[in-house]
Amino acid sequence: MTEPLISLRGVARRYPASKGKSSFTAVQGIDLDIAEGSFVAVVGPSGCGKSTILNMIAGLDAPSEGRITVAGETVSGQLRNDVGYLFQKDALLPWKTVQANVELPLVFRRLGGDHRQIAREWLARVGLAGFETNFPHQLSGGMRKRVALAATFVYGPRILLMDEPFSALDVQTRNMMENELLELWQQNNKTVVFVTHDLEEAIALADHVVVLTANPGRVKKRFRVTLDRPRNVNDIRFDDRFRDLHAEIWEALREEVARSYALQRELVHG
Amino acid sequence: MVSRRLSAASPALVVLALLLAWDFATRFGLADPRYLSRPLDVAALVWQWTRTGYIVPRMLATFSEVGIGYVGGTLAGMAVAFLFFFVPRVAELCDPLVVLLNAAPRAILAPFAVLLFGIGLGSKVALVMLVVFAITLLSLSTGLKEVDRTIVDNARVMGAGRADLTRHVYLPAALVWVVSAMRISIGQAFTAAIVCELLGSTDGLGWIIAAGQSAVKPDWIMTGLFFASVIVLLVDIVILAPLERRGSHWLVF
Repeated sequence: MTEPLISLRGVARRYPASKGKSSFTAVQGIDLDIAEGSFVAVVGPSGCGKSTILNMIAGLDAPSEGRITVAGETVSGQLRNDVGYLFQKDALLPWKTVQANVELPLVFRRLGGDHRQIAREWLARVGLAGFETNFPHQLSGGMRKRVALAATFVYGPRILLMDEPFSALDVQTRNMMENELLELWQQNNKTVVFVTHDLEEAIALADHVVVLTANPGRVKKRFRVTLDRPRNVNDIRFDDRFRDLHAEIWEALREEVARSYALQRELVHG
Repeated sequence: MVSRRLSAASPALVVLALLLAWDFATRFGLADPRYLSRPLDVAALVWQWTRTGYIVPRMLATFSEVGIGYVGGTLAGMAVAFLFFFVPRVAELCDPLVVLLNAAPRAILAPFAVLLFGIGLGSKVALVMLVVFAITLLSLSTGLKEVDRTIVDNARVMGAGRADLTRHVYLPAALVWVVSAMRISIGQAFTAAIVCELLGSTDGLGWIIAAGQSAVKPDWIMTGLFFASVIVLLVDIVILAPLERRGSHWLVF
């Protein structure tokens, strides 16, 4: 078996107590292998540390315990240059035009080539030709996500980390974006780690669905999604195999959602 | 009824009522017009100084003191705010100073300014700078801490180093805070300059007011006050408000 591109071994992240907050364990004992070129969705109840896992792979955060390797190199709080990250919140610079936002990673990385031209090409590929001189606040939420997508693909990262990137969009826009993401992924041979709390989205997009437990998050179970590709996320939900998988994974997830809910109630009501 | 009458009233009426009350007070012995002047006398003087252009160099004198101090104070405040932000240890060490700077009624340092820098331009510029510096530093320090974490993380993942972050993320984000600090500080900057002029000067709106006091000419004081308000309003309406509007969508996210 070939070496996985991303590998987590016994990874835990604890935040020490500070300023009246007690210490907090976000994730614990995480073992996870992700093969190059695969699309892995991570699902789990809210507060189970999904985003923490992405942040640690990106190098924005470091594990308190265990080891993370990407392409054979240990990652512990240092940023890698082959990683792209699409955040849940808008992360475009509001004071720069769409064009300038997409050129920015090329500037930051001091990459060669005609930045203007490269950025324009990516904007055209995400369907935003003609919007180059607009500012982010002049675009809809879906369009801003496309800009973010272009700004991530433009520097050709090998790994794409996505943290509930489409959760703030309306259902139609969201399905459209999911299909476009699948297309971009297949054309560009990326490795995607996609965090979501939406099981349908996870199954529709991914090759593997990893279910995390309620806080502190651990890997509960990993499912393989054997649905054919290319997929259309609108149609695939009506596939019988999709429904079976959904029932099977939901069985694992339901318990954790209930536990997480109980935990939150405890926090609120003491 | 009361509410109907209230809705028929306009802000202009309130001003008119106040002016009338002032006028009546001086006519019916409630206040001494020798010390309070009268609205029409003030209006006449405003008109005369405008017509003869006498007021223009006086306003320019105050305006240039404020202008130089304002730009200097803003730049110094920005520089120190960035230093504090990037080297938190320095901020910790300077914390008592900042608290003092924030709490102290700064315009009251005017006598010091005049003692140290004389009755010329220097003392006014120094005091305006201090006042604007304090407001800019405090406002921008808060602002830099509130720059959206996601935007910073995103830029870092995309390869931004500290210099890139400063230039493309922190500086533009800071500008919004700087402009809003400038709007807060403009009134205080003029106060500082004028208080300093009151204590010792050879020109400016404060000089007129001081002269009016020693010559017991209350209409000079009132007219000086009038032109000071006009200049602050003009700077806000013509320069600062449009600047802030331009930058306001930056804060939408």
